[in-house]
Amino acid sequence: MALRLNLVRYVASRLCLAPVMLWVIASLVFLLLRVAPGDPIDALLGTRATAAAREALRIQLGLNQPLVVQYTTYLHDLLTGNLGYSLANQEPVRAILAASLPASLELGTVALLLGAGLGMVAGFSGAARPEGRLDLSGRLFGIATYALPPFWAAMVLQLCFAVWLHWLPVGGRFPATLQPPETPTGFYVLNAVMAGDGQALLGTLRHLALPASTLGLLLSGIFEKVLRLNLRRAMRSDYVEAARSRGLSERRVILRHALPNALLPVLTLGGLTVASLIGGALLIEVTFSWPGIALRLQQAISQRDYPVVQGVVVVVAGLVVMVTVFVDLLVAWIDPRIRF
Amino acid sequence: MSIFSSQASPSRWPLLLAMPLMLGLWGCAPERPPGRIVVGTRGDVATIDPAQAYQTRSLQLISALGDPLYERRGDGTLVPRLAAALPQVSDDGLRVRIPLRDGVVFHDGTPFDAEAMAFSLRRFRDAGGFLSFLLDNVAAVVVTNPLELELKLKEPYAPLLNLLSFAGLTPVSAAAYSEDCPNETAADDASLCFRPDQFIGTGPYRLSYRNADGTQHRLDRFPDYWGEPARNEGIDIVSLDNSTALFGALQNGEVDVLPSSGLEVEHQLELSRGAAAGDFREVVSPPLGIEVLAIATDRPPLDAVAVRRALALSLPRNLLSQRVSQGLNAPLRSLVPDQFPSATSSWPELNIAEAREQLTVEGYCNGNQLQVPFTFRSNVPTDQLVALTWQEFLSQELGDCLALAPTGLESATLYEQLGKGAFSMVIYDWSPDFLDPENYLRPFLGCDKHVDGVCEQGPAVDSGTFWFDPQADALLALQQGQAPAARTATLVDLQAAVAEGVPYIPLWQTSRRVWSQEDVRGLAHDGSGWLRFSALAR
Repeated sequence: MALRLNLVRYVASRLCLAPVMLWVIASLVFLLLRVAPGDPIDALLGTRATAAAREALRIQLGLNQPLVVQYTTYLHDLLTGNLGYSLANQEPVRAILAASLPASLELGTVALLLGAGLGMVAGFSGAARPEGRLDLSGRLFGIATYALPPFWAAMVLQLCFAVWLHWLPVGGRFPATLQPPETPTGFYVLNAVMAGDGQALLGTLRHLALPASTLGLLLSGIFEKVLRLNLRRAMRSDYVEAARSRGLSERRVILRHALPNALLPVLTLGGLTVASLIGGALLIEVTFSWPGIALRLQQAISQRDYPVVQGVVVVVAGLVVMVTVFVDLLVAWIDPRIRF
Repeated sequence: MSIFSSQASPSRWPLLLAMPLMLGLWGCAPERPPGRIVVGTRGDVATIDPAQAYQTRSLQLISALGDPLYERRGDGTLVPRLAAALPQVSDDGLRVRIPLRDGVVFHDGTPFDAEAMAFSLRRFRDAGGFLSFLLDNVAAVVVTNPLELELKLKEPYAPLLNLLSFAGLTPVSAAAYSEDCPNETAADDASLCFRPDQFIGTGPYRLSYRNADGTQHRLDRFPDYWGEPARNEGIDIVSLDNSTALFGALQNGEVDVLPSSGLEVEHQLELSRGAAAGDFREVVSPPLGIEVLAIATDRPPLDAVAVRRALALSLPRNLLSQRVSQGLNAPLRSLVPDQFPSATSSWPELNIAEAREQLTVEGYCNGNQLQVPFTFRSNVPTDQLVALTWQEFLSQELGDCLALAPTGLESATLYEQLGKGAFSMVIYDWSPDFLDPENYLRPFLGCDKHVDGVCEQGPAVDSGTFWFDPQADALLALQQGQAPAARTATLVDLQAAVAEGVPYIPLWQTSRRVWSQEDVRGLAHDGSGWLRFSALAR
């Protein structure tokens, strides 16, 4: 009963802190953007327009208002769910998020599944046969993939599989000659399955394969290391020895006793990885021209597109807070040893 | 301690699963329709609203979806497109009558007429777009009959005819607009909002698909096009975000046609080599853009003309063209590119001895070295290479007199501070929205307000030189109302006056290039520098 009460208190405190955290993030983003050198009008127009045209655009976009007025308008809009409009093309920020966030989530999900799967298989194999050939290979694999510079790895894989071998497309999210199925999820794989469109599904998978494999490969190293370390620690624990002494098979000891305990840190790691991938994997998105949230954010920063930067950062921060709270709760629910 | 001794090692499972998947993805690439052409571009197309578009890639797309009133040919002459004949200009130069072509229909089947053209021109001028100032001089657009327009000007405007060939002035049916504006600021005076996924124009293609983030466009041949029909069934435009990906996409056959806009110099050079070896086709447009050095003339030490002239005399254009642009950009000693008759060679050639002499007169050299801060856009690799190469050249050739102190700034920050006088000398490029020689001069030389020979308001301030010269100002005003031949002479004189004052030093001129696969025919630019999509065929 006390545990449940503590858990409720913990959840409540995390949920109450979330809006405060979001307000602080939103305010910081607002201020930092205005303090940073560079004017959105100049970033948009360059040297093309006259001073009169610049001033007209400044008034049109509300950038001539005092900072306090801009800030209060911004907070008011945020509270009413209005994220504003892009300065670059007047597109609603909500629409920009609706287009780019699913792209990042789709890439991140597939990459995470690949990375976690590959890393866990390598980590498990190593821990199950310590100091053997597989263990050594797994450790080398873990170190290499963890240490690989993402930009370099992405370019090399792009060069090999897309440019030289012609197996997969160099970039983008969908074949230029096809039209993505129009269903509301924003996830092309899901859309293609829902529409029963085999061509679209194949096209999506072909475009997803290279960036997701690259990102997955880069993520797999850390999963391999965490699982291997924790599984080996679990294998040396008293309860595993006790299980062995009861005459259980080694396979059963590992799968039923050691592995579940070793997977808890992997779950936390998975949560943190998901949180970081919500904001996109910038270098992968840039290299493979994946139209995700990180790429959009980078473009918006270079254009000083205040509403897009603010909207993206606040929404991503909100999602990250939600995911970390969820993972904390999940770990607490699974692991009875955790106290609050 | 084997766990799975009787089974396949689990470490091989992913490999066993991945291999057929990879092979399946490789073998099942979607078939490309043979009649369609895939064109690659760098970056998304932010908007296809003619009244808002200012990016090259947006205007390139609009040029395929719509028609301007006139088309500029490679030799600089104008031929009617949606106009039925060349315009009639009144004696005072304030009224321009334009007869319109009969029998033209929009992509939705509605007829094109003077009302439709007037609607688009008024919207371009009034909707608060980035380039709306281009029509500032148009006081009124009057429909004189269903197939004739009259433009009433505030003052004579010689570039008007070339302006009417600008892709942004293409008519779009009112049906492409919505009264239900999501953003109240977007409508402004025009009171209608552009539907971002629709373009109801009169061009050889109609837009059949545009994705939400503007990275994919599908153009289908318009069967009821009034002119020569497109030679292909359609164009698929795909946007990638980096030069390497675009380069790779042309190499592996993923895209059929690749324009140079946004490609790194190394990639352009490699593609040019490939074209020379017969791997690709290559076409180069006439020079369209220029790269200049702008000097703040309102403060010491660069307020001294002799010092500015010394800088001009010490600029190794040929060396920079070869070393930095690998010969892709031709050296330029004129503000107007050499495709125009008013191009000159008014700026001096490299002459180190004379540069030394000029600096000596000003008290430099012989132990007194002049340090000149030189700012470049850090996100433009060629700018940085220009700065570093010139710096090294000066240290070798003129080290006792002159030294450069290069500093990089991101372009957004540089443009913000340009008009505030933050830079002694700065390098940037310029590509006009429509091709007219004045468009290479007024944006640099125009001055709305000046005090004691220093410009305080106007383009000369915005471009960072603060330079005002009464003779140049008079010549700039004079050419507005002149006939072509006299105007050309005036523009030559004007550049000579600017070269004397040296507020700018032209470096090189840039052309648009385009590469295609060997089996693609009809690769060509029009007179405005736009790639002709409708001429492409496999």
